[in-house]
Amino acid sequence: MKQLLLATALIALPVGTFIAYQIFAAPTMAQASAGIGDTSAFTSIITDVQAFASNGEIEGAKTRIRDFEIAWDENAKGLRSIAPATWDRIDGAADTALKAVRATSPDMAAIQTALADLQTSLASPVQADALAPTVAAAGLGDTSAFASIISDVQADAEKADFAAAKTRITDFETAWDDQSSALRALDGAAWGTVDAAADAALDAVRATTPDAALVTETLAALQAALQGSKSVMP
Amino acid sequence: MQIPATAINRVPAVTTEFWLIKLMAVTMGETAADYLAVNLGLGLTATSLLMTAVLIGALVLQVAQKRYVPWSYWLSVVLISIVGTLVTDNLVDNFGVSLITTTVLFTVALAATFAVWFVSEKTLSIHAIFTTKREAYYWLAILFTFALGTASGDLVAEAFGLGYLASGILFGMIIASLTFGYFFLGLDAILGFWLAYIFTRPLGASFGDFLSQPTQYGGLGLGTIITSALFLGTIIAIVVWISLTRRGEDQAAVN
Repeated sequence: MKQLLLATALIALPVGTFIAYQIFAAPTMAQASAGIGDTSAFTSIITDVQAFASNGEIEGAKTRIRDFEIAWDENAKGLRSIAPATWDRIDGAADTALKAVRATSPDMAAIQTALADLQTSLASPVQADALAPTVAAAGLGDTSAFASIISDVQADAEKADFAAAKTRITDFETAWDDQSSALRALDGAAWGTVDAAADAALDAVRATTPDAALVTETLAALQAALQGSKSVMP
Repeated sequence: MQIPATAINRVPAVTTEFWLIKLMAVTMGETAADYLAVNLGLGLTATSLLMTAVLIGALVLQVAQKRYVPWSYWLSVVLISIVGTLVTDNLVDNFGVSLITTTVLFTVALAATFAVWFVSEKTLSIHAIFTTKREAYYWLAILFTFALGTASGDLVAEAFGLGYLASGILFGMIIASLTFGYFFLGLDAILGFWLAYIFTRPLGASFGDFLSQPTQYGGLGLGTIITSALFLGTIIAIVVWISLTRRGEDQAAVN
C-alpha cells in the first residue's frame, strides 16, 4: 500500500507541475494552437462530392469522397495534435458523410445534409478549443516582397517586354511556392485567394502570344489580392 | 514447479542499453505502425491482423529459446510495440471506444495479469523468468503495458492538446521522478520497473511523432520511413553488440 501511494505521488508530482505550467505560465501556447489551420484542400474535395451528389452521380461521389478520406486520415495525427476538439468535431461529421454516401440504398437528402454539415465543420476550423479564446484568420502579414516582384513584372509588361516579364514572374512563383506551407498555416483562405490570382497571372504572362490587356488585368488583380491579404479583420 | 539451482533468466537484465533499446523499439513501433496502416494502404484492421499473426509467430519462437537470445527477445518487443499501437488505434478509430475507456480497460487488464501472475508464482520479478509459464505472464504484461501506454499517452496528448515535444517532456519527467524514487526514496524495484516501462511507451511515441510528423504540425518532418529505418538500424546495431559481448544476460544462482 505504502509503495502504491509512493508511486502515485511520484507520478502525480510531475503531472501536477506540468498542468500548472500549462495553465499559468504558457497560456499563449494554447492560443497559438487553437485553430486547426487551413482546410481548403478538404473543403474543395467535398465541394466536388457535393457536385456529384447533386447530379445524382453516386459512384462519382463515392470515388471522390474516398480521396477526402485518404487525405483526412493521412493528416489525422498532425491535426489532432494541433486541435483535438476541432478534429473530433470534423471527424464525426466526416464519418456521418462517409456512411451516408456509402449506404446500400443512398438517401439523397441525407447525403446532402451530411455533406453540408461537413462543410460547415470544415469552414469553422479556426474556432478555438474550449480552453483558448477564438483566434480568427490573421492574414498573410507582410507581402511587400511579393508585391515588389509583381511591380517589376507589371513594368516589363507595360513595355511589352514579355520575355523579361516571364523571367521575373518565375521569381515570384519560386518565392511564393517556397513560402506556401508557412503562409497557408497562417491564413489558408487568404493564401487561397492570392494563389488563384497568381495562377491566372502566370497563365496570362506565359501564354505563347500574351494578350497585353489580359496580362495587365491579371497582374493588377494579383496586386489587389496581395494588398487585401495583408491583414484580415475578424 | 521445480526451479533448477542455476536458473537461466529468459529476459535481459535491466541495464542502460535495455532502456535504450526499449525506447527505440517503442518509437520505431509507433512510426512503423503509422507507415504500415497509412502508406501501405492496407487499412488499420488488415494491418492489425497481419501484424498480430507475425507477432504470434515471433513469440512462439521466443518462448522456444528458453534463454535470453537478444535478437529473438527484441524482435518480439518491437512487434508487440507495433501490434499494441495498432490494437489501441483500432479500438479508438474503428470501434469508437473512447481513450478514457481504453485506458481504464488496459489498466484493469494489466492489474489482473499481475494479480494472477503473483498468485501463481509468488513473485513478479523480471529477474526470475525461468519457466514458460512465467514467460507467458511476462509477455502478456508487456503487451498490456504497451496498449496502456498508447492509450494513456494519446489521452494525455489530446486532453491537454500538447504538442509532441511537450508530451515527451511530461513523460520524461514522470520517468525521472520514478527513477529518483527508486534510487532515493525506496520505491520497490519491481513496481518502479513496471511503472517506468509503461511510461516509456508514450515517451517513445512522442519522440517518434516529433521526429516523423510534418513541420506544420510541430514535428521535424523526417517522415515515418526515415524515422523507422533510423531506429531499426540503431536497434539492430545494439542487439548485434549485445549478442557478441553477451551483455545483458541475467543469470541467477538460485530462484
